[in-house]
This record gives sequence, C-alpha cells and structure tokens, in this order.
Amino acid sequence: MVRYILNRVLVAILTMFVLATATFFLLRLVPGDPFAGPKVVPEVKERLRIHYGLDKPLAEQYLIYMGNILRGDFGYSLAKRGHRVNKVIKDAFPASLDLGIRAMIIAIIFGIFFGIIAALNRGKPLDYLTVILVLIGISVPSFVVAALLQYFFGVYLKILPVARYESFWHTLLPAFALSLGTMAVLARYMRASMLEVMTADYIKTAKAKGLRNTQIVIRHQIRNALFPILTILGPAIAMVLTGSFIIESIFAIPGLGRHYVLAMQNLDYTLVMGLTLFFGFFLIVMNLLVDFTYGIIDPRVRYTRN
Amino acid sequence: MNNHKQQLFTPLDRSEKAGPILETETIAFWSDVWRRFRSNKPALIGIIILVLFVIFAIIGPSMVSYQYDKVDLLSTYEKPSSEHWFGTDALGRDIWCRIWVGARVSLFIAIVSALSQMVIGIIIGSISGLSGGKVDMIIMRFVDILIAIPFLIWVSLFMMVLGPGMLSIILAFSLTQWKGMARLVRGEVLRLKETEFAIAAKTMGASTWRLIRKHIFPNVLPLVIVSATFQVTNAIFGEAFLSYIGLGIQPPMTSWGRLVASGIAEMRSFSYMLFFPAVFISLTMLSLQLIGDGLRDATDPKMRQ
Repeated sequence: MVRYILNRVLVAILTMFVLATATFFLLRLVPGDPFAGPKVVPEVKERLRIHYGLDKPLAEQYLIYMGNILRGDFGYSLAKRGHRVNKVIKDAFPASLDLGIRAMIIAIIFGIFFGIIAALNRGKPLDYLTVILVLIGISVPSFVVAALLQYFFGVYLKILPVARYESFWHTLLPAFALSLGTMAVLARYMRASMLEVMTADYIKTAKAKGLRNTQIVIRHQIRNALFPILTILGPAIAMVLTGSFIIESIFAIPGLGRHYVLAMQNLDYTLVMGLTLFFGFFLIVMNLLVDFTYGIIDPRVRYTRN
Repeated sequence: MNNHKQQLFTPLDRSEKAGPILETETIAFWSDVWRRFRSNKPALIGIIILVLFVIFAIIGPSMVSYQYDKVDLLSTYEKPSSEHWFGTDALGRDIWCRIWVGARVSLFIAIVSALSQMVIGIIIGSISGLSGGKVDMIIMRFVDILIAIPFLIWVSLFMMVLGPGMLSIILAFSLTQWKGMARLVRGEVLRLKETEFAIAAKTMGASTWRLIRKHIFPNVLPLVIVSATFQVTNAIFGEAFLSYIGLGIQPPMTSWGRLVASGIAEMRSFSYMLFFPAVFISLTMLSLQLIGDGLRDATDPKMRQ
C-alpha cells in the first residue's frame, strides 16, 4: 500500500510540474500583446513590461515563475489591474466549489438511481426510457440544456431566478444543468456494472441460500456494483469542472469557470495560467483521493497498478 | 554424445527460416460484424441520419438562392417561411444555408481530427507496446500526465497560442486527444504480443512488420474504430464549446457551434435561431453514440454467441 501511494504521489507531482512548465511556455507563444490599446503610449508599455518582469530573459522569467508557484503565488492578473490571481481564486472558488458539490450530489444520486432502475428492469420499457434519457443527456450539449432550462423556468414560468448565485433557489438551475452530463455517464456505468455483477457466483450463492430477492439486490448486487463506479468519479469531477466554464458563463455565476472564459477572451496570460494550474492541481489531488479510496476498498488495485 | 546432439540440431540457414506463408483472407470477421451491426436498428438509424447530414452539407447551400454570408438588412429576423426555410438571423442571412455551411465546417473538423488522433494514437501506442521497457514507461507516464488535465483545458491553451480558426482547432484536437487512443492501442498490443497465434507466427519466422500487419493490427482495429467514433462526438462538442466562448471559428465563416452560440444570445425573442442548430448538433451526437454503441456490440467477441 505504501509503495502504491508513493507511486501515485510521485506521478501527481510530476504531472503538476509538467503542467506548470507547459502552461508557461505555451502562453509565451501566444500572439497578441496584453498591453495593446489605442491609447497606450510606447513608454508606458515599456514600463508595464518592466513592472511585470516581461523584459527579463525567458529562462529567468521561468525560474521566478516556478519559484512563485512553489510558494503558492500565482502573480497578478494582466487585464484586471491590481488584482492578484490568488485573490481572484479566493473570491471565486467558493461559488464554484458550492456549485460543483451540488452538481456532483445530484449527478451521483440520480445517476446511480437510474442505473439501478434500468438494470433491474432490463429489456423492459423502464430500461429503454433510462437508456434514451442517458443518450439525450450525452448528446445534447450542456449550453443548450442550460439555456433552455434558464428560458423555461426563469423567463417563461418565472418560478426560478434567471441568473446570479445568491440563494438556494439560485443554485437549482445551474446545479441541475451542470449535473446532467455526469448523471448520464454515471447511470450508464451503473447499469452496466449492475448487469455484470448479476452473473457473479456470489449472487448464485445468495440465491441458493434462499435469500429474498430484495435482499440479494440491496446487500449483494448494488453494493458490489458500486465499486467500479468509484473509478469514474475522477473523470466525473473533471467533467463537472469543465462543464462549469459554460454553466457559470450562462448563469452569470461569479465563479472560477466564468473567470477562466473571460480571461481567455481577454488574453489575460497570468490569469489563464494561474487558473489552469489551480484546476490542474485540484483535479490531480481529487484523482489521488479517488485512487487511494479505491486502493483501500479493493486490494487488487494496489498490486495490479504497480 | 555431445557430437551426436549437434548433428541432430543444426541451425537452419537464414533463407530456410521462414516456413511457407499461407495467406488467408480475413473477411469472415468483418462480414460477421456487418451482419450483427445490420440487425441493430438504432445504429442503422444513426448511420442514415449522418449520411443525410453529409449529403445536405454538400448540396444544402445550393438548394436555395442565398449565400451563407450574404447580408440582407431588409429581411432580418424573419421567421421560418417558404422564402427562408429556417428563417434569417440578425443580419438577414439565410439560416438554412448557414446551417449546412456550418455542417461542412463542424463535420470536417470532427472527422479530420478524429482520424488524425487515431493515426497518432496508433503510432505512439504501438511503439510503446511493441518496444516495452524504458520507452514504454516514458511514453505511458507522459500519457498519464496528459490525461490528468481535462481535454477542454488543453485545447483552450492551444487555441490561445494558435489563434482561432479551423486549422487551429483540428491541430489542437489532434495534439491533445491522441492519449486515450495510444493507451488503448498499447494495452491491446501488449496483450496480443503474448497471444499464441502471435508467438506461433514469430517462431515460424515472421518478421516484426508482418507480425504487426497480419496479427496485431487487424485485432486492434475494431477497438480503435469504436473509440474513434466516440472521439468524433468529443470533437463536435469541443468545436461548439470553443465557438461558444469565442475561440473557435470566426465570422463570417460559421459552424454549428457558432450558430448555437448566436442562437442562445437571441433565444428569448427568436427561438428558431437556437432550435435548428441545437437539434442538428444533438442529432449528430446522438447518431454517433448509436453508431459507436452498435459497432462496439458488433465487434465485441463477448457478444458473439
């Protein structure tokens, strides 16, 4: 187990390092000038460049940047004067985290529920209904779903707020819109996992013992079918995170996803870099946690992955 | 005694090494796949929808007398009618025409980038799987690192560097999305390398190239094709996402993603502007899902009963 954890942590650290380096050099290649503007005098531009350390040689800039990251400092935003990237993250992360957790909870509960229902009614109308819903969930782009939900509940029925993120009622539409894709994927995996478990020997044993059907389903089938679901929690978290770029933009939620989209449109290098790294680190840590949990629950994983 | 043994086991001359090569055509597998795929109705419907879309992408714009980028300020925001089948947009451009020009762009991007990811993935995956050892470890660690960061983040970073446009999108997808395919191919190559038929071919003197061509590649192909089908879906969504946030196709050129983005902006007053592109994107993604599922079931040996 210790070897397994060490191995995973080492890969995680390496990943963070490569990501930081890649972002740094990629964004140096971006065409366009962050200080461009019709009213910016060349002298001012030069002073801005010196102020932000852009006049130093690339290697030195890289070292300074890596050193700062090690200290947890992502520097200043270029487009929003005087805003530290750390401050942007600190201000915007709570809203994103809140939205993400809500979306994950909805996705996990309904996804697993639909998966179980479909598997238990295999080949019957309820199964087809779930499969169709899953296909719709995967096929319809999230921004279309979000826009439709916003229009129907916010503008047409006027029962839920159209945008912003202030009360419980504000969270409902974006969290639901964000959860749909993940929900569909989870339902699909849960269905497959349930069907696979159904033919296992221990289910036959349970039947032979004369256990009641509900007991077999709850105690043996569902419990064992849940384990493989853990492995897709990592990708599911990533899905919710990238989904938030669009959902936060549509619902005008002051979260990190919206900042990220705006920063890309404004060519705000440092903010894009900082947020990319933050997202990357966050996902890497989440994946580590998922891996550890899986390693603890299922001892086979520890050995096969080494 | 020793001498006697040597006489019994003299090494063969190099020219004698390879036994007679028995070429057999392997049509059986694919005709079997087609037979099973054909009986899968949803997958067939998916194929029909996609073929229709491709046909309309080719002939659709020329079915009307408008041009996709022709601004007509006297007929802005017209509802769908016999004049303009899908209505017109804020600049009076015919949406029917724009949808099919957009389809050309979106489908082209999706198919080309899925193909190039497939080629890159197969090459890197086979190198990794065939060479093993250090090379394999380095490539796979690199893939691990790429996989840890979501596709949209990589693609957005690349798009910032490459600038907007169709070529940039294809390049960004191809450069970032081969990793899943590489991992898949590597796993299969590792497995197939150790199969009895591969070892048998090797002992009979088949060259590495022949081994790859005749024994490994045909067996990897089904998995690769299934995975590529799902990659097309990813690329269609990715293009739509990029266009939505303004890093994708630039006006006056259009794509389904751009059409949806402008549809969302005008949704409240002119809902048909969102309706048509959203339906076409969703139907395409749905068809690809159905085809992918159908192919997976048809090529999966476990499903053969």
